[in-house]
Amino acid sequence: MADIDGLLKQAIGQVETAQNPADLDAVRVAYLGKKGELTGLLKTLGGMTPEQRPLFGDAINRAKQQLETALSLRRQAIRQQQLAEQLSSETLDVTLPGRGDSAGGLHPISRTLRRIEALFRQLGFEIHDGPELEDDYHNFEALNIPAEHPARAMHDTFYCTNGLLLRTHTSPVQIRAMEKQGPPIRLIAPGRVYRRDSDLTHTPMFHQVEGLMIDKDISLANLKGLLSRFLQLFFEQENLKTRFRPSFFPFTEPSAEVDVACVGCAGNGCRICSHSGWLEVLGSGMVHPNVLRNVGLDPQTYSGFAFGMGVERLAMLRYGIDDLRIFFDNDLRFLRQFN
Amino acid sequence: MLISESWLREWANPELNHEQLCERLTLAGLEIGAVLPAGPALDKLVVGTILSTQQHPNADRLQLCKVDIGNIEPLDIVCGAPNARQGLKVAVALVGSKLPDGLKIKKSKIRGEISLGMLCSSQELGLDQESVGILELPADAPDGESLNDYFNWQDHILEVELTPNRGDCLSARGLARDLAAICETELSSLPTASVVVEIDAVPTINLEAGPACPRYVGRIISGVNAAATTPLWIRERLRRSGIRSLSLLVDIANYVMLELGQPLHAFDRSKLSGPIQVRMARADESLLLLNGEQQRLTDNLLVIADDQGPVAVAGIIGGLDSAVTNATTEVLIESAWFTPTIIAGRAREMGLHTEASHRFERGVDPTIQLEAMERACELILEFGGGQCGPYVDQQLHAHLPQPPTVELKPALIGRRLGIDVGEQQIKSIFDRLGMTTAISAEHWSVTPPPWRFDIGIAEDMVEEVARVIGYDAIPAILPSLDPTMLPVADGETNGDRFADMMVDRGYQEAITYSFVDPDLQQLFAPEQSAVELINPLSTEMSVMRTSLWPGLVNALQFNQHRQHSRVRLFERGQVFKLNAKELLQPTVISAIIAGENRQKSWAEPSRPVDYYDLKGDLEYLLGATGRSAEFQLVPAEHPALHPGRSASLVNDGNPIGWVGELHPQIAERLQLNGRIYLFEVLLEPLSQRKVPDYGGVSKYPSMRRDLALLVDNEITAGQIENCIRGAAGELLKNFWLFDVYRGEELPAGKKSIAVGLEIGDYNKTLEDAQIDALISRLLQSLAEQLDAHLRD
Repeated sequence: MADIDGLLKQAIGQVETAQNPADLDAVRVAYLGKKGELTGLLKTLGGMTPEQRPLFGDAINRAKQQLETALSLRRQAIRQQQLAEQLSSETLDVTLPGRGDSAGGLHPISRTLRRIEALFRQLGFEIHDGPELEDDYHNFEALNIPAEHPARAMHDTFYCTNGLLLRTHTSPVQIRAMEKQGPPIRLIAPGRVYRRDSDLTHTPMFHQVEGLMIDKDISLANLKGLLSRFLQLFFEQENLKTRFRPSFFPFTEPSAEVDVACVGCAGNGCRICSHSGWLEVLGSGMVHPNVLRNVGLDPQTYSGFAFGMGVERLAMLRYGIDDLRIFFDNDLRFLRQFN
Repeated sequence: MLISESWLREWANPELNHEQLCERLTLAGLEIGAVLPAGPALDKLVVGTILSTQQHPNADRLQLCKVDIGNIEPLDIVCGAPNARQGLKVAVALVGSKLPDGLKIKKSKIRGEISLGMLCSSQELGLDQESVGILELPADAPDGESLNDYFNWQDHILEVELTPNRGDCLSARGLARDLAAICETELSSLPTASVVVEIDAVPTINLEAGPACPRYVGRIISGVNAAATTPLWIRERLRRSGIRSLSLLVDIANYVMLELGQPLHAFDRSKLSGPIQVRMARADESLLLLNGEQQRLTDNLLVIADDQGPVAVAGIIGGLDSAVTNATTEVLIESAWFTPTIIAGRAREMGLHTEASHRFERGVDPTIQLEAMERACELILEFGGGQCGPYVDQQLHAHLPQPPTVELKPALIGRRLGIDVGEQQIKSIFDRLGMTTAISAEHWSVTPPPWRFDIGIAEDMVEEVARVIGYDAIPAILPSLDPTMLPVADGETNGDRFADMMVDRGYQEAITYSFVDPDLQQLFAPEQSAVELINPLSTEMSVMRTSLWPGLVNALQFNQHRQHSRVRLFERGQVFKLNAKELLQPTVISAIIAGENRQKSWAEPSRPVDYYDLKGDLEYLLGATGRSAEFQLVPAEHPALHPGRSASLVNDGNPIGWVGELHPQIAERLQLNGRIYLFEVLLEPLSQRKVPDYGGVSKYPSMRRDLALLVDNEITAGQIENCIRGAAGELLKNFWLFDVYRGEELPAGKKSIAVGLEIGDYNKTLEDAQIDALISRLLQSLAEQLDAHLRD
C-alpha cells in the first residue's frame, strides 16, 4: 500500500513541476502508460490473496484517477499560461493608422447641387440638363427677351465666333424641355452659366439651378409655398423667415425676388447681409404667357412658376465661405474642408 | 437711382418713419439697396456773416475777418480764400469742431493773429471732390444756425435699385407717384410755371426719323448769364442724387430730369447753323462727344443735326462743339421724346451709359415734354436771367405711343395669386395707379397711364395688384401634386455615381473654367478646332475648352506651387468641339494624378504614381458599366501624351477616351513636377449599364492551370489575353495575368508572362484529357499567332 501512495506522490510532484505539454505526456507515459509504474502495479494483483486483491485494486485505480485529474489540471494551467504569454507578446499599437488611403471629396458646389436636387426630386421634379453653348433664341428670344430689351444689359453675355453664346442662365433648358414634353411639368435644370463680369462678387462662370412647374391653376401662393419650404429645408431651419418682393424678369409676370432672414445674424443685421437683415437668394415668378405660347402651351389653360438660384451664393451662406473666387482655384486646402 | 428722402417726401409724404418707408418701397418692388447719410453730420459748424475784412499785417494772401455767428460777439477768423468778402454768408467751423478729413479746429495764432475758427470750402465739408474758395451760402441763411440743420444733413440718400421695367420711377415725382398710390396718400404737384415770352426767336425743328422721334419741344433763351452760380439747394439735390454740379444750364437740365424724369439738353445756339434736324446718322459721319471722344456714327443711331452735320447723339450724349459753356448767352433747350427701341442698346454699343439713355431706353412719359420745358425755362430765367422765346412743339401724332388697352377678367387676379380679392379692391388699386378702367359684362378694359411702359397684358395687372396689396399678404401654400413616380433606369449609371467612385478612390473634385488659354489648349489639342469668344475677359480665357486637361493641369500647377506633391483631381463637365460642320458639347470625366501613389504611411512605402495606378482607377469606373470586357485600351499616340505611354479607350470600335502620361516636354514647359498621368472619357458610353441576365451557377468544379510563356518584348498582355480567350471559347471561365518577368537568364528580346486559367464546363466535370487537349490548343494558337511558347 505504501508503494501506491509513494508512487502517486512522486508522480504528482512531477506533474507540478512540468513546464509544457511534452513534460506532462512523459509523466503520463511513465505512470499510466502500458508500461507505466501504476499500470505495472496492477500486474502484481495476480499474486495477491482474494481478500487483498479488491482492496489493492481499488487503491491503484484511485491513484490513477487522482493522477489523471492532476495531469488535466496541470495541462489546462500550462495552456492558460502559454496563451497569456502569446497574447502579451502580440500587443499592437492600436493607435497606428490603418492601411489604405482615405476618400477624397466632392466640390462644395456639387455637394450643394446634390442637396438641392434631392429636395426637389422628392416632389417629382425631374433633373434636366442642356448645352452650355446656346443659341440666341433659347437663351433670350424664347424667354421673352427680344434683342433691344434693357434686360439684356443685366446679362453681360459672352458671344462666340460661331454665332452661339454662352448661356447666361439655365432657363433655356426649360424651353428645350417644354418643347419636348407637355404639362404637367416639374423640372429643375442645374448647371454652369456664364456672364461677362469679374470682380470680388462675380466670377465669369457660376452655377444655377432653375426650376419650372407648369400645371392647371398654379398660383403665386403655390410658388411661395414651395420656395419657402425649400429654403427652410436647405438651410435646415424650420422657422426660417422668407420675404417675397416684387421684381422684374422678362420671362415671368408677376415676378418675385426671395429673401431669407440672414443666416449670419438671424435678421438682426450684420456684415453678411449689409445690415439689412435679409439675404437675396432666389429669383422667381409666374411664367410669362409669351413664354408659354412660345412653346405651344395655351396660357388660358396652363399656368406655372419658374425660379432660379445661384448655387455659389447658397453654398457660401450654407458653409460660411466668404470669397466667391476661391471656388474655382481648386486649392486642395479649400476642397478638403468639404470632404 | 439716388434720391434724397426729404425731396421724395416733398412729393409724397406717407405717415411712415424712415425704416418703414424703405421697407414699403422695397416690398412694392422699388428696392432700397442702400441708405447713405446725406451729409457729414458735423458738430459746431454754423452759418455766419463776414462783417468786415482786413488785410493780414504779416501775410499778403490772408485776411482778418470779423464773423457774426448770431448771439455772441463776432469772431476773429483768419482766412486765405480770395472770395472772403464783407457781407458774405459763410460756413464757420468753430473751435472744437472736427472736419470730415479729421482736421480739428483749435484756437490758434496765424502769423501772429488770433483765429477762432475756420471758414470752410465745400470740399472741406466733404460735399464736393474739389472746390475753389470758401462756400458761399445764400444771403438769407440765418446766422448761428447749425449747418446740420441748415443743410438738413440728417436727411437720408436712398439708393433705389429699380428694375428695367420701372423707368417711370426714375425721378422724384415718379417714385413719389408710386409711393402715393401704394400708401394711399397725396401726390404734390408743381405750381404752374410762369414763363413770360419776351422775344420772337424760335427754332426750326424738322422731325425726319418718323417713329424714332415723334415729339420735340424746343425753345430759345437769349441773354442768359451761363456763368451764374447754381443755387445751393439745386446743387445739394444734385449731389444727393450723385450728379456733379457743372454749370448753371447743365445743372438745371439735370435737376428737371431728376425732378420729372424728362432728360433735357441745352445747346449753345450760336454754335448751331440752320434748322434742327432729327434724323438717322449717316455711316460716314462722326461726332466729337461731350466726353472728348471722337465717335464714328452708324446708320442705326438717331442724331440731332444742323446744316453742318450731327451735333448730338439723340437721347444719349451731346456733342462737344455745340455744348453750352460759361460764355454761352443764347441757348436752345431740347425736351424731346425718343422711342425706347431706338436708344436701347446703342449707348452700350458705344460703351456709354448716361442718365439720359438710361431713362429713354426704359421709356419716358410722352406727355411731359412741355411741362419739363416750362419748368427748366422758369429756373433758367430765375437764376441765369435772359429773355425767353416761344416754344415749338413738333409732333408726329401717328408715331406717338398710344397706351394699350388691356382686356382683363378680374377673376384671373385671384386665381393667379391664390387669394380672394374683391373687384372693388382691384378697381381701387387701378385707380390709384392712374389706370382707366372701363367695365363691361364680359371683361374690364384697362388703360395704363402714359408713364407706364411695362403694362400690356392681363398678367401685368396681376402683378400690379399683388404689388400694392403686398406679396406678404399672399399665403404660402404648397402646390397639390398629382402623384407621380419617376423612372429609375436599371440600364443607366448616373454621372453622380462616377463622381462618387472617384471620390472613393481618393480624388478631390475640381471645377475649372470652361474657357481656357488658347496657347495652353494648343499644347493639348493642336488639331482640334475650338470655339472662340468674341468678347473674352482676357486672352487667358478666350477659347472654349475642348478637353478638361488644360484646366486640370492648371489646378495641378496651382497646388504643386503650394507644396502639395500628391495630387489627385477629377472633373466632370462639358467640352466643346468644333468639327467640320457641327459643334459637339459632350460631357466627359477626366482625372489627373501626380506625386506618391499613396498617402504617407508607416505600414507601406510609397512610390511615385505610374500609368497603372491611373489605369486601375479608370478600370474601376469601367467596372460600373457591368460590361468591362467591351472596353479596350489600345496603344495610340496623343499630342499631349508620352508616345510610349498612352492608350486610346475603345468601346464597340469607337474611341471614347484617352489615358496616359503627360508628355514630359509639356510638363517641363508648364513647370510641373514629376510624372503626371491623365485620363479623359466620354461619360455617355460609360453611363450605359448592362442589365444583369442571370446564367446560373455550375454544380461542377472548375480546374486551375497556370502557363508561363516566353514571348517577344513587343507582344502586349492584351494580345496574349485576346489570343487565349479566342482559342479557349466558353470553357475559359476566368483569365488573369499574374507575372511579367524580364531577366538576364531569358533570351535577349524576350520576356516571361505568367497567366492563370480557370477552366470548367457548366454541365459536367471536365476530365484531365479534355483539359490537356484545350491547353495544347491554346499553346498552338499562341505559338502560331504570337510566337509564344511555354517557358522551360
